[in-house]
Amino acid sequence: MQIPVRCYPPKPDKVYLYGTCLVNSFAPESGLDAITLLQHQGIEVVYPAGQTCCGQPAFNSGYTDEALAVAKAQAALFPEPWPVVILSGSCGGMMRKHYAHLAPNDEQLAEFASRVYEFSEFLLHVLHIKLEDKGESQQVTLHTSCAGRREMGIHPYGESLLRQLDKVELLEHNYSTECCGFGGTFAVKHSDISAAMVEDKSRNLRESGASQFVSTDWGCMLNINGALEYQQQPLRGLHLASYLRQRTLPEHSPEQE
Amino acid sequence: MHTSAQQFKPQAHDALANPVIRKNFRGAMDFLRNKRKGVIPDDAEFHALQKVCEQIKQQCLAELPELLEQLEKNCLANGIQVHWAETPAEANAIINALIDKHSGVDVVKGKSMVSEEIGLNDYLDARGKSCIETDMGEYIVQLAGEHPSHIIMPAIHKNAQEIGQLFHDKIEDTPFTTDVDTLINIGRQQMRKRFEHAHIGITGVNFAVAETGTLCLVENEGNGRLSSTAPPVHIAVTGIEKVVKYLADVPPLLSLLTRSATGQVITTYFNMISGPRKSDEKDGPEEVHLVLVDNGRTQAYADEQFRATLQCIRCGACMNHCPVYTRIGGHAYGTVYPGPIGKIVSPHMLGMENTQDLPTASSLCGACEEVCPVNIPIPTILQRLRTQLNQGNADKRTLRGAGSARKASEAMIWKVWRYLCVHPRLYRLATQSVARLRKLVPLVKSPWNQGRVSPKPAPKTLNELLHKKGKTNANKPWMIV
Amino acid sequence: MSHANTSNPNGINKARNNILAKLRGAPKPEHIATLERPTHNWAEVADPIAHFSQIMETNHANVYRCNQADLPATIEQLLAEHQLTSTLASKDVLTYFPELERKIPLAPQTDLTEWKDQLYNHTDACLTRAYASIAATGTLVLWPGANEPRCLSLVPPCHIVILDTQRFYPTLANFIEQEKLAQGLPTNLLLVSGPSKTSDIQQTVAYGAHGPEKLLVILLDTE
Ligand code: SF4
Repeated sequence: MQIPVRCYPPKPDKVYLYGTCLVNSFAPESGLDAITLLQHQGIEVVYPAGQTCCGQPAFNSGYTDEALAVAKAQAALFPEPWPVVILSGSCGGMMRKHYAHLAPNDEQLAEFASRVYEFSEFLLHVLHIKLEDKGESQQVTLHTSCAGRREMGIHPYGESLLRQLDKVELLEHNYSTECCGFGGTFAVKHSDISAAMVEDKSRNLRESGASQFVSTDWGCMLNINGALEYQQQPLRGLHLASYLRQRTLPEHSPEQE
Repeated sequence: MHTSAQQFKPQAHDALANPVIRKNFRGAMDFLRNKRKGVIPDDAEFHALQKVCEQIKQQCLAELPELLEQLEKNCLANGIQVHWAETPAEANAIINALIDKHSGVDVVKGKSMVSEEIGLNDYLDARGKSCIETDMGEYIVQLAGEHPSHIIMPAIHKNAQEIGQLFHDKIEDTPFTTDVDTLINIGRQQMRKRFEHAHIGITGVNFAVAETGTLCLVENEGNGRLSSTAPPVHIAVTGIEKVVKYLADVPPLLSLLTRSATGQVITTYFNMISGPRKSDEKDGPEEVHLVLVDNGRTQAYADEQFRATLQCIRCGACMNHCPVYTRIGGHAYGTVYPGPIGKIVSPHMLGMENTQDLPTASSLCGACEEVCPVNIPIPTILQRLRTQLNQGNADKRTLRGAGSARKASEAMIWKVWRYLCVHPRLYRLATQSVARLRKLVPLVKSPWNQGRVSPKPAPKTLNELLHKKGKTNANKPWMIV
Repeated sequence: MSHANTSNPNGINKARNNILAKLRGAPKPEHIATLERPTHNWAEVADPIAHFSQIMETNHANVYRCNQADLPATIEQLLAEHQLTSTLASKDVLTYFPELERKIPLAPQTDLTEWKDQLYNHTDACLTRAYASIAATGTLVLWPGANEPRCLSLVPPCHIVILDTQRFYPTLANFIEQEKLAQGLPTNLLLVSGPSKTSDIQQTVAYGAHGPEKLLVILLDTE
């Protein structure tokens, strides 16, 4: 399935932020960093406190009724016509592509989904951001989630953003398009297979020679970082929002804000 | 080695632990992916042709009953006899009866996945008929007493070393060698005599053209041509979804089939059979039979979403690009069709109760859908199959064996999850409590911990941190509502 | 409607009726995009003959080119080059090019069962005509029939084929359309795009798996 070509709106004054359940629980600093970056573009960020989860875990497990109830509850939290910036290509794909599968005729869901932008997509195509690199020279490699790549088509965006950073060299890694093995409940139901996949993925990331890997998705990173830690390897992944914030606004770390 | 879909998990486990399998498949998949890329350099051209192929197959499926009747009519007019089978048992009985009618014992078979599907070899073996596989890959797996591990490259799990050993062990007076030309020549010599004297030839069909009553076969070796030309009787066996309406539908489908399958712009042979020999011809079969097999296809057809499964032209690209297949190989699935297409088609053929672990054995990464020449939304179908697997409502169980994997405990977990997700205060309480207990995480062990440490929640959730900063911040234009 | 007469005709009809009834009982799709059947060329080819030859050679066929007057000499040359001694030509070929009979004898004009052993075990090469050719994919179209048995291009280890350079089509779609094949096909129409091959052992290509190991194509310039 080809990803439909998308038309982008002009730069807005306000956006909603959808943090995602994983950022909320495991990596809140990615959310804070994203807010900082957006604010520095002169954008007001509104964070609806009632947000929980996009519904993907239940959907992927075949519990569509549960997923639909949760999806509807989320959409209702974003009533204004502002763009919704989301910190995950995978949750973005859930909303953009699969909400329509859950309820083909639900207008509210469809309208909501039409306003959802993955973070890197939003920076690049709506804000036309120009990044000024303030960090030291570094070699990084980028892992894009499968949903980000195949449902949202965002893999070139993260790349473009990283290439804007003068002192950052973006390295390729082998099998970069292959899945890391996360896949939600797949990692638990078929842990053998999943573990074999993440073993390969973490090795390929390491063999790229990069001292840092960056991703737009915390799902993959929980998996890959968990494997790297298990292997007692020093390499870790960082969310793109945090990486960009560190490189361009080093003085605005979340702790100091 | 005989595997079964019910044993998927242990079989996958064993395959993962076998370094030879891992290496053979990784190498073979890399090879096939690169070959495909070499002939699909241009994404735009691929997508345009993919759209055409998808629409052709959708239209043909929309008119499937009419097209099958038209195919039958035109085949009969061409002198091809048509048989219908709902089940593997019926299909085998039809073929067996045809062989008996011609007092045949020597049967040669070109590559046919449907004949694998119906278990024809075992059926004929049990009746004292020898059916020799003539496709080199199929010949190798038959000699080894195995089944194909890939739908296009049946012996892909074996390397030259293993095949050299197999030939040395099983074929008389054959010294061990790893030279591929020598091995292929041994195979050729073994089968020559069989072709010369065979009574019956069996093949599959890649496209059956309704408009002209024509059976099309795609191959490189020439064994399909020999099987359909040399013996006096040719029996073609195929699934009912293989019918296309027009002859003009063939070129786009063929182009994407061969490019997706083996990275060839066309295969060495494309064989179009429109009837037995005419009275003035000096060779060719005197009888041609077509056996149309259902075997669960009508079940997939009955549902508009599952129907897309039948668009498949069996190119194998989905398995070549599948990260799961690449790691566990074809035998672990325990089904005739392995990989992504196997996961979506086997439940219809074998019942969900026998294929429970297949729909969940995917990270839904979408690599399969991306390369599928007929645009089958495989991940979406897998998701739908999962809803059938654990369907609690008997009225909504439309597939054979639906609901068979339902677990009350799992259903309850999702009910609780849902309750939390639509009650934000409770959700906050829950996530914050988990954050407080983060130190306990390393103590909890789950399958996740295979090769991975569990992720630790942050000390404070994002929600909490934002709340702490206050509803609004005078200097900073952000707010929490 | 008549049906194949096998051991259990009632059972067969039952299967047929059940299958069709199940299909007819399924919901009709709400919307199916109407599609113009593609008849245009999938790939435009600038120089068909050069393109064809290049692909054929990549696929391990040998391509020769000559005019009609030089045909016997060309044949002689390639028989020597490939050391082909026991050869047979189809009647079609010799009807068009009678001068060749001195180089390659006519295949027996009886049922193949009578000279099977000769063809399978004592023939190096057969000579046939190609009906046409498809440039885009480097493909020969063979149209076997009463005067050109199917096995000639299949059984011996070498297949020599004469292709008239006037008979090029750009693509398969174009060939099917121009030749109005939808209105009628021969019992067996074949597309051949190289010598027989297989990659079934460790993805290594080997030629002559079951069909001819050698394919020698003579492009004949006629006027
Ligand atoms: S599902 Fe698609 S990719 Fe897989 S074998 Fe069928 S046609 Fe090929």
